[in-house]
Amino acid sequence: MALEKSDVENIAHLARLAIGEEDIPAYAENLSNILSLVEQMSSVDTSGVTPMAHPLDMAQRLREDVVSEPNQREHLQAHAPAVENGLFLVPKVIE
Amino acid sequence: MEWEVVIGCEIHTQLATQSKIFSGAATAYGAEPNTQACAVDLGLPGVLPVLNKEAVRMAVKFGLAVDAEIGKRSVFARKNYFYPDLPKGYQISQFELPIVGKGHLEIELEDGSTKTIGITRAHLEEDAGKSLHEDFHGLTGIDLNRAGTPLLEIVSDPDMRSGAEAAAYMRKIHSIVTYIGICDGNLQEGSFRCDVNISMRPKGQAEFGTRAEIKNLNSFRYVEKAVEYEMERQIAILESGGKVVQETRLFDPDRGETRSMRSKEEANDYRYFPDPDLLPVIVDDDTIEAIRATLPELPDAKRARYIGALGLSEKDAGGLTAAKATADYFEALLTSSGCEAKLCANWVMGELSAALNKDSKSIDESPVSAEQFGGLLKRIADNTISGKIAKEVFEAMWNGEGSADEVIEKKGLKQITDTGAIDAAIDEVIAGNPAQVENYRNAEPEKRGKMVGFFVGQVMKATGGKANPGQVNQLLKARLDALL
Amino acid sequence: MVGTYALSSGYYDAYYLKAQQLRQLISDDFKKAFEQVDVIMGPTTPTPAFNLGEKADDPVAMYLADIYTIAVNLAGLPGMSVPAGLVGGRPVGLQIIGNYFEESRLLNVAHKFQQATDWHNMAPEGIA
Repeated sequence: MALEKSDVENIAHLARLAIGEEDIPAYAENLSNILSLVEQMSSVDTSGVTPMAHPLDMAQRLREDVVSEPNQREHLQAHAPAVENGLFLVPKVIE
Repeated sequence: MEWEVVIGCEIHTQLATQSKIFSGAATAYGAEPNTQACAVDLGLPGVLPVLNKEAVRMAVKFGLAVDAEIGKRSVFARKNYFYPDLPKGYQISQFELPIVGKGHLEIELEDGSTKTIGITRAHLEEDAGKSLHEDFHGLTGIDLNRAGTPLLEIVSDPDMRSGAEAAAYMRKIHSIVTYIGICDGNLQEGSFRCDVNISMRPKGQAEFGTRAEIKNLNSFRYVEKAVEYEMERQIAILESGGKVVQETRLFDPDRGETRSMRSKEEANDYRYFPDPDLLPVIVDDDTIEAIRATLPELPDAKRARYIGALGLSEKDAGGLTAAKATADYFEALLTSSGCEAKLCANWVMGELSAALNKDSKSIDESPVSAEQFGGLLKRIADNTISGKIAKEVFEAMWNGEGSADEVIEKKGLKQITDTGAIDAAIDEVIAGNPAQVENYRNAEPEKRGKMVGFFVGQVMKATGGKANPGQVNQLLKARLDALL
Repeated sequence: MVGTYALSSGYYDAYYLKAQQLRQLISDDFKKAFEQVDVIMGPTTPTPAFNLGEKADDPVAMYLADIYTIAVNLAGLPGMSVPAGLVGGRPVGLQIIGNYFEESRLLNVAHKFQQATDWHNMAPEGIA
């Protein structure tokens, strides 16, 4: 399976990765090679096989509905690049 | 061409848990920004989600209330998209195996008929945080208090065919989730929001047209208006030979219009996959039955009981049962007053709702409790006061002037049932209105009945409204007829 | 990039879902094997360590260098690698795979192996 330039651009956009125009051919080739390797999967008959999302056949454990986390805003915002009035500041996301 | 609108709704209800769906942070509304957002809600590295038992229980309870299949094995999935109020880069939701499967409910239409609306599914997910776009010198402020609040997203089948039906559906879901206590139903605070999918098709055509989605409607009225606007907009496009664009739109309540949300629409590709941090949720039959046992009487059943057992009209029964708080008040009043259901219903739907409306209060905030109200209705039942005087007493009670008995006593509103006093007032009225008495005497017998009304009014006026109208009527008739 | 592609619209079934089905088959295989054996052992990697950066331009070769440990991860089994000698002066590992929740057996086997061998005390030339 050979990926086109537009495929690479689309994947990069979905993953929000910035890829330089000059790097696209290399990405297209490497990704295509990986996909060819993965292509081997299609030789196995998996009809009727339940997809396995979790390795262990167990049920999710549930938590009691109790507030256990106190306010730690100062601590948790210590690593934030920009904070104002208790809010995290990020680049504007709407026009 | 005749067009038909097809509407489906996705309603997000915030579940009324104490803590978040996957963390132990609080969910209380209105806290200082980011004071209820812990490491899990912030999506910091190394954290793991642990599912809140109560959120699961509430979702199952909803499923049972709409007669739905319960997903005994449901799976959480990651819905991937990038937005700063979603710190992980994905929302934990449910995709292929939701906790609630196919169900249905009934809505009541204006003409009194009912219609069944299918529920496609309902799934658990976490809410995102809030973005504040103003006042941060060109930056966006992020408050993650809401991030991780449990939501139940309820998806309807595309069964609605008018704005009124969509609004009735939204009301019914609102009624159910508040009855069963899984959501506070607060529309202003965003606890209950509706996305409406609207498309048009030529009447009689089976395939659906291209739909537009109107997001985040938080009022029943807006739903109706948004649908009406959207119908007009789409019909205009289609009739001029254009094509409706599949897109997300927002409703502007000030202008009564919907507008496109993004200038450049991109197809969403959420890349759902089962969340490896969470195992499948298993709900066994015993748990389901235990939850079923906690279901209260639901609005439809209550309504049917009010009509059947209590003999109320459909209109009263519908009005009283739409909100659980109203039904609770009515039932408390029924007990405290010991009066007939019809009388209680009239007062709740009449004076009380008018007073609540006037002061913009919810029934929970009523200054007159059902207990106190019962005291007033008792006095009507035992003829201490007339219905008309009772309105005056009610107003005084509303204004905090004391209990019914205190107000009646203080204002001297006790009904006059003493025949002597009423007779005296009748004497006065007859003596003071000779012309009317003469007319009465000369009138045809079948017309006299109506003419008594004038004298009753005069006597009531003379007694300050305190005489028992029935008694006055009876005594007057006898006296006037004696003059014939 | 690969993960995004495999999950993206139109490719999920062919890649992600198919892989999850294979994962189930791999897991079933291991379960069957552990009905008969206590542990499964083999090389940790197909080749001794290659030079730093040698395969940086070939992601497929990089992937394949991990191939023997991936099945264990997919099945969710406990596994460990213990020193098993030198090949061309470079250390190689013996991978020991145990059944679910049998980490103790795994550690026991590794301990016995180290009691009988001396690989764990050896270092490649130039490393003290």
